[in-house]
Amino acid sequence: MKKWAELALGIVTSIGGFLEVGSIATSAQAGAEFGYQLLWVLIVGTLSLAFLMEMTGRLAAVSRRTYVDHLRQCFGVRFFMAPLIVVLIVSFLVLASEVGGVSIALQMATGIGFQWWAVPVALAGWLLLWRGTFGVVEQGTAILGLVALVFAVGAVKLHPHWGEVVRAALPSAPAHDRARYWYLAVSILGASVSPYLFLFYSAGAVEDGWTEEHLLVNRVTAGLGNVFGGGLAIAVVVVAALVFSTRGIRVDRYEQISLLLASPLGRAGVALFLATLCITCFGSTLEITLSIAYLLAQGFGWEWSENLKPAKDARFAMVYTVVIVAAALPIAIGVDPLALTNLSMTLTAASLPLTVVPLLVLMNDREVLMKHVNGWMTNGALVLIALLSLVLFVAALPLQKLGGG
Amino acid sequence: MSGVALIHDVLDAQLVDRRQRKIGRADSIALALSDNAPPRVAAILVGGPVRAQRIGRWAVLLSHALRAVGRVRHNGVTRIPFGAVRRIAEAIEVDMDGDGLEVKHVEDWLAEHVICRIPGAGDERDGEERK
Repeated sequence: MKKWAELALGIVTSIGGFLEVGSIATSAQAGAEFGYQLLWVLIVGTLSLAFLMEMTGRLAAVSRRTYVDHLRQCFGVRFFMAPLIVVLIVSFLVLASEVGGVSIALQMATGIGFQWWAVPVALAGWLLLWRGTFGVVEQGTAILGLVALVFAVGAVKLHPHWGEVVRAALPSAPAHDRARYWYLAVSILGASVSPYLFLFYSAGAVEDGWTEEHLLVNRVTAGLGNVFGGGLAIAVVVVAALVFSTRGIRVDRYEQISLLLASPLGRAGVALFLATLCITCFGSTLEITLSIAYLLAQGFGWEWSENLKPAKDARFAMVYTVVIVAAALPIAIGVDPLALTNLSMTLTAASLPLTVVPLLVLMNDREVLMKHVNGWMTNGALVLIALLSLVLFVAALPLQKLGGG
Repeated sequence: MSGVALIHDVLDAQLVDRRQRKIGRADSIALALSDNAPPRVAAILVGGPVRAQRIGRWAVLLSHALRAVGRVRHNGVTRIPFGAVRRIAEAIEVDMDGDGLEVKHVEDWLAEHVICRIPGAGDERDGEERK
């Protein structure tokens, strides 16, 4: 019985955690400008994330140590500084974008400008981290995040031509705006495969005391959960394709994205969209803030746990306090949330080699994983993901320049 | 014989005290040299300055600058005698009390002067306290 509850909870966590500011924005832009054509990229991103989460979760469950812990010990502090600094910068930008997502949703709901919401949103997030436990943060946001299922309802109600949707699962080259197409492809991958996701996941496995007995839960959470979560992102693309693309609307502002669900669901659709944006971005705000604190604490060996009173892990608590407040500042001074989101997704994509390639070594270390090392299938997938990350590293910034406008 | 590889198993490993509290990572390892005895592993070193030396020049300069700005006088390095090591497993357990170690200086200062002044932080002196 407990096992089933854990499995269900794991799936819910992944579904509820999948959609956030990046995936909503990039999926909506992709659907508006290229119809279903970029769906295959979303599928690649979702599968990559599922594999990476399964691996970092397995590593944590078998060794009782987090991915960051292994990264520092296996590669030494000199190498470790590279992923540390890069992930800190990139995650901070994504975090600021999430605060922007919540703030924009609140602006559209209340009419009060988004700049005014950034600091209150950060303080509310901080209060939850200060008082709440890991379970509250993880499960609370996941269960509330299920409101995102509304996109699946919206997609079905618009009666898409499912044959065309399925056909878009195969890669195809664009007939127009090639730079823009590949730029959006990079953004989608950056939005699906954020390093904070697997840092948070592997720290969570240790927070929850996972052991080898949780390997099934791990596989189901990473696999099924992400497939369902990715399905929701696909639904966003489908809705955007049918609502925007057919009318020739290009998405340049969050206000436009909010009309996504107005056509299938009417006024309630707008309200549900705002609720989804607000809740999922708020959940991600908490997760990214914690991930940054985990990264520093585990990298330098400080005491860390979201379940301890702040006095017991003062440096950890200090980091999340400073980080969440600082992340509100760009939005509070009026930086455009959508532009910030797009930039952070590109940079995330470019940063991936630093967190993905080391897994090739770690996941094949028999001393650490014993019989649970990668098999030929997971190694094959990991090699492909690593190659993809290298392509993204080279291509992301040039494409941002060519197709980001 | 299963030997312990210093670089592989000790360097950069997590350190915990006798109450399983995390006290930093093994930033460096010191050997003791003497004229008429073979060299032996003397201590595990923990702290920003030794870590910076391993990272590179920019980190050493940054570490100097930070210490100057923060007016830090103590040398910032904790020596953990190798003889205090009890177990080398997921973490290295040392038979010491983490409280009062140089390496906990920042943590204790933050707890006392910042964190504990915010309501709901709990008490830094009690044992393990969960939310």
